[in-house]
Amino acid sequence: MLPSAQQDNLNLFGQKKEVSDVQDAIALKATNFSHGKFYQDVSIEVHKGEILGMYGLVGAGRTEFVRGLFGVDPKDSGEVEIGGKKAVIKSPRQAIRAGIGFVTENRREEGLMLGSSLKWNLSMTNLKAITGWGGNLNMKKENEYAAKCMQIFRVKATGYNMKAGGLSGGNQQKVVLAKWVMADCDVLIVDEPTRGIDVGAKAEVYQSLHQLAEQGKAIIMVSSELPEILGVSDRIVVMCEGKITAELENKNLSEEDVIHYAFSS
Amino acid sequence: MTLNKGKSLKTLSREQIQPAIIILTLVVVILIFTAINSSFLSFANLHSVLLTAVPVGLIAIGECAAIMSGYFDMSAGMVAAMGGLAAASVMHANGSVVLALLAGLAVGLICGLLAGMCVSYLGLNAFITTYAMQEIYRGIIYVFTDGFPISLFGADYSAYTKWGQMKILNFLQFPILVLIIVYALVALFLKYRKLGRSIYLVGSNAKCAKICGINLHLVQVFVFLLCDVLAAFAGMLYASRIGSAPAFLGETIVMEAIAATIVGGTSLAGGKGNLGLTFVGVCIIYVVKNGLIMCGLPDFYQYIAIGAILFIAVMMQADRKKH
Repeated sequence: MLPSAQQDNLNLFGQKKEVSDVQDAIALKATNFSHGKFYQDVSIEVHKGEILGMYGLVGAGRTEFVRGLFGVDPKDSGEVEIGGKKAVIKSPRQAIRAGIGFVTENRREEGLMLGSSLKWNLSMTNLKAITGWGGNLNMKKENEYAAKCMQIFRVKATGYNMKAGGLSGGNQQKVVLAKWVMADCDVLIVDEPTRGIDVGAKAEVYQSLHQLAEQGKAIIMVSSELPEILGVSDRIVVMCEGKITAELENKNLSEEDVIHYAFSS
Repeated sequence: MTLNKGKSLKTLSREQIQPAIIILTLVVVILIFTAINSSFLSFANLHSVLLTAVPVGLIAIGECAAIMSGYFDMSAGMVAAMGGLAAASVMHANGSVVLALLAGLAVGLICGLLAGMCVSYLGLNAFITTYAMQEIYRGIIYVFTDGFPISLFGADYSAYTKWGQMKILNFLQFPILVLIIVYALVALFLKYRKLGRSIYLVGSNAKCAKICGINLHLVQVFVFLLCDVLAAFAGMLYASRIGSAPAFLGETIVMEAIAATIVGGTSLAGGKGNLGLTFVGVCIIYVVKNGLIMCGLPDFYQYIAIGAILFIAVMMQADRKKH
């Protein structure tokens, strides 16, 4: 790769401002997660203000693990502590109530409702924010909420009544990110957050992740792109064939250091 | 990507003109029949069109909610018949209108819960499950009645039948008012309640809705409950109006209700639908049925006409969904 391209890479991933109390408070602790042949005995912890990267080859069990963590798919065992308190998570509803958000890897199938308007897509994770008198949905509040989300996340669209399917991949991803972040979760799981989106949108996604971490949110980022993992995360967990093979501080790591663990189990 | 954008813009505009097309269809159909027979447009006739449309109109509300969330309830017609029969039986045995109403609604509740639980918790296919239930209910109805109606004729039952035959302000029969009120209430519910919104969301993309914390089970059970309770209510109202609970009520009305829902523009793919337009769809079907009789054609032509209308409605949807 040319030096200039590397220079671009640095800008692309952006940088997080130093947060002093990163190591102090544990936001989420998952212990002994297992589900059949998909993943066995996976334990992770992520601190407030930290971006935890989860790297591995396709099929290493990362996606399956975070889906089990969020309660989308069933699991055999596993315990979760959020903010020091034990949480029972058997469904996404319980996960959301516990303060977790989940950006899925397949944006078009599970991340968005392509045939619905942007405002519906944005408000669905946070319907209680747009209710007014008597617990009824307030359309004016919903419009304002959607407009706010789109402004903060710089979604390029003709308006909040536009169908999500009409957006570019990058803008779709910003909508998915926005609907979780604006729902005020403490822990955000992002699975392949930049798959299939253009470079400009990638940079904006990274910037959003950094900003969230600065605000004290914990982020678990699953990715198969090593430069992304190395460029964004504070700490890296490597998985291979359903097991965690390494947990690395992201300081002066080279790609080879990480890849080595992705192959050995 | 630009190609995609162009297509979605086209979809949007087509979606926007759809309500106009459906309402225009109703207007055109009314105009055609008025041109053939000028007495068609009389108040008395339109009133009778609406009155005969009440059972199908009520069931269409439930079907609209069910189809929007991606399911069919085929058993609603038989539930309507059972609801009417249950109420009539209680009137015969006990004579209490309140108990009769409760019995009818209980039938709707039980059938709705059963269908909803099967679809939601057992993960069964809604169409076939409710079809199977329809057959079972049909059998139960004929075993108990031998196909004969339970009559509510006479002064003994007037406490029950007076409701269906009552005229508000001397011109509007009570069931029509009920129909309009229920439409308004459910339309408001769909627009302004979280559960109402959830019905649309589940229909648009059930996986995404689940991940975003929508209570999938609740929505699934609720739409079948709504459908079957309204169906049982429709059966009771019908029995009250004609002074008899017929065993054969459920034979055609569920298909008519589904047809009306589709004619009213409810998307078969789920997630899109409008109760107001469903009402227009019900009106279209009943105007055509009534108009053909007014033209002096035998009953059987109605089937051809309704089939043709439904065919056109589905054709328009198919085109819209191609992207």
